[in-house]
Amino acid sequence: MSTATAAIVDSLLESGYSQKMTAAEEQQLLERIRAGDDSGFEQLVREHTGKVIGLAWRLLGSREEAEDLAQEAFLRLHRSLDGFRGDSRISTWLYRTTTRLAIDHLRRERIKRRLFFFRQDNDAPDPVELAGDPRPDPGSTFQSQEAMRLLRKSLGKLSPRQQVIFTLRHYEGLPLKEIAEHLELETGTVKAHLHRAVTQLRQDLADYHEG
Amino acid sequence: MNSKDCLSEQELTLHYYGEHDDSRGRHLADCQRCTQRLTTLTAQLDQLPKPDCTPDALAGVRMAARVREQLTTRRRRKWLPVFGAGAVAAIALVLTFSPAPQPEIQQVTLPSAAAATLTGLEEDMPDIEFLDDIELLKELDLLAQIEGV
Repeated sequence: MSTATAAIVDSLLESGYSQKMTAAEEQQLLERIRAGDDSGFEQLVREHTGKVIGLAWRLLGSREEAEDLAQEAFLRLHRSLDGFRGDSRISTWLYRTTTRLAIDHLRRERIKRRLFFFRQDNDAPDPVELAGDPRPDPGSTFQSQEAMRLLRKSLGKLSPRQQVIFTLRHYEGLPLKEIAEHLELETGTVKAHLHRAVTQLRQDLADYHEG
Repeated sequence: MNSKDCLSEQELTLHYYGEHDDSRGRHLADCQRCTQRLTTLTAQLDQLPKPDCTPDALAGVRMAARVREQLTTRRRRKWLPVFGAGAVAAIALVLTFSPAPQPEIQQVTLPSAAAATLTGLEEDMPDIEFLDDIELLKELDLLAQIEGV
């Protein structure tokens, strides 16, 4: 695992609900699971749930969707357990898988939204605004709620890849090089996506900032 | 400072995130205009709301239960084709080795003309074995009924 990713994962673990597991302990746990110990896998899930849901939540903006995505990531992990031979950490694998699943999810949602728009007349309300976030609002004031709404709306205008790259860099603090590796893109491409995202957000949130 | 040397918007963005080229950073130190632009960008990006996306303390327990349920369901589904194939094989074996039911042969009283026709056929072709075939016999019976004889 790269230093930057390891630092982020560690910080998430420290702020989350699980104790840090060393590489050796992780390998022991994997051996138990491979030997048929289902409780070992449940322990692994509990260990990583906080950071996986947190990442998916930031990427998707919805807790319920984040939980569904996290579940899929863990099921894929279960299918891939035989491939773990100690050369990479599970946290890294989950981080990468969650990010890719989030991009796929955002792409599907974008297609659905386009179909929705196609079927509506011009007077129909904006489905982005109708689809309220089911989770409790993170802010305690109306202003922060409004800011979050504007942010989500603006992020929704970006391509799924731009959304994810912006979130990974701005909120997760992942270096662009790491993002490029996770998404298997050129660093220059990631830089361009980040810049487009920032430009869109600045444009959409200009009124809010001025106000 | 010449505006041609000023940082592009993308370079400013990269500078905000600490991903800038060092040589361009030196320009920034000398250019008041670029410094001002970066200050504006920094203020805007720093003001972006920070979503609190920390799941509750029981999220891990719930997720473990969800995953366990899914894995159990998948394991059951995984065995379904095996059970299905076994059932099909068992049925095939039973059908193969059980005695075949004898076809029912109904005694049909043929009208006299049809009987005469059949008698004529038998006389003309007394050794034709295919008449033993029950299906052919039925067809002959049907033919006789159609002819109304």
